[in-house]
Amino acid sequence: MQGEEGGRQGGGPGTGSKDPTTRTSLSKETLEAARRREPDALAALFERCFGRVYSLAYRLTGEHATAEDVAQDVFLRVYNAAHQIDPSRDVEPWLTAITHNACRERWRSRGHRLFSRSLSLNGGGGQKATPVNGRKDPELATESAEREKLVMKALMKLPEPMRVVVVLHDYQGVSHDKIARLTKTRHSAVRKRYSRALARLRDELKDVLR
Amino acid sequence: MKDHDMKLTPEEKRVQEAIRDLGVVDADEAFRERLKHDFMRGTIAGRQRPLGFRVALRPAWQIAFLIAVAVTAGFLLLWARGPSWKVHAVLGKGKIIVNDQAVDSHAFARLSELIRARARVQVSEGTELDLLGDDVLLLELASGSDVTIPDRPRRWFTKPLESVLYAGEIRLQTGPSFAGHRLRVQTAEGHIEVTGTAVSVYKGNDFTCVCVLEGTARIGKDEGRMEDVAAGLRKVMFSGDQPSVVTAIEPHHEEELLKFLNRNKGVFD
Repeated sequence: MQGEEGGRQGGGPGTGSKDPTTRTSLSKETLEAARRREPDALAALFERCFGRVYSLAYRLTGEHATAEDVAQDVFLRVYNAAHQIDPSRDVEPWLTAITHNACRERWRSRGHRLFSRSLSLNGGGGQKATPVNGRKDPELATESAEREKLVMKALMKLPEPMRVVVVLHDYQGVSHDKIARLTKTRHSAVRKRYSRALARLRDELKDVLR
Repeated sequence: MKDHDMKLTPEEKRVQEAIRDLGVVDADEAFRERLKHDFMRGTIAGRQRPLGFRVALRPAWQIAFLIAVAVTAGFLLLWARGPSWKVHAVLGKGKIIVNDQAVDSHAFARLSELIRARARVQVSEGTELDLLGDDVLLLELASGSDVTIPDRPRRWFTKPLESVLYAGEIRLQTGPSFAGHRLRVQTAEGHIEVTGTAVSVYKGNDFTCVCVLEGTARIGKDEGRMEDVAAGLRKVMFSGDQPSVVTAIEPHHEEELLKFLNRNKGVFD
């Protein structure tokens, strides 16, 4: 099961940055222990993967409340399926697949749509995203945060299938081929979606990305 | 084609960069710690905000209406499926293999359980099997035949019923409710399309012989070369380029067809 559902080419959220959550991979011993649901190993797995799962969930849904629900779902599923962890493989593609599936389930539910509508009326509330490339200058940081906000706003305007492709590819660094497997879509369709998504984002962000 | 083969404009590359530059998202620290704690101990609760309150939001009359629609649709679909196949008679002693399960020919109840639309049935030498699709179709699988059972005839949809004859001989007679349906029997050498008739189809090593006793059947090597073959005639199609032949019905096949019809006289009454 693990490793069959998704895939990651490298990098992390986002692939252009140094992400503290992806700097080391878990040892085989830790993964073996996680299979046995040993608390310390589960803690290590959590520390290693939480940032990635939460960030992906937020980038896909645009809401902290939903990202929290998704993260909770993901770690519940991971705990329940811990015995299926393959210590010889990286767990992150598996987690990416589970996160994507959990987001998709949210999108499919009318409850989520009603909930997200009420959230967006309230401004989506919650914490802020932290650029990880270490900007210290307050002016630059403000500018960067503003730009990130606009990029997120543009991402949220994309239809979900397009957003999935662009976020997985550019934010998570997953190849089109693996996205096709993850979303059970043809490779050519993924490329087409990606290309359309970039075109839409280009138009949407033309004043921002000059 | 690889991902990097995509030709992107400078603006699109800037979009890519902007998304790649999106940082790690900070979660609420208290939430993170609580989730970590619960994950370590296996005490994560289910979803806080349930996904499916769609049903709960609907008033009771809507739920009742949806159930009624679903039940009606279920009944209609079941009714539309039409009659199922039943084992009408088994002649001789031997084995009948249904989807790779060998059954003694006298195990009538077991055979009835196993024989379904699209099942592949092989009848051993010395055994014959008659199947009845209510008042729609009577099908005899002669000794040594290997065939897939056609789909159930549907009441509303006139998609042709399909059957494949791999070896041996089948005889079939259409019933009063067959009107409007088509049965297509396929062999390695060609197609036989039946719209109401009594025919036998014999599949030899490198030929297929179709004898028409009643009515007319459309027979041909492929869709583009179908021709009507009238009662009293037979058409033999060969593998390869050898042209098909239409001649008088083969006496032995005619005799067997008549036996089949006589044996089942009144089956559709």
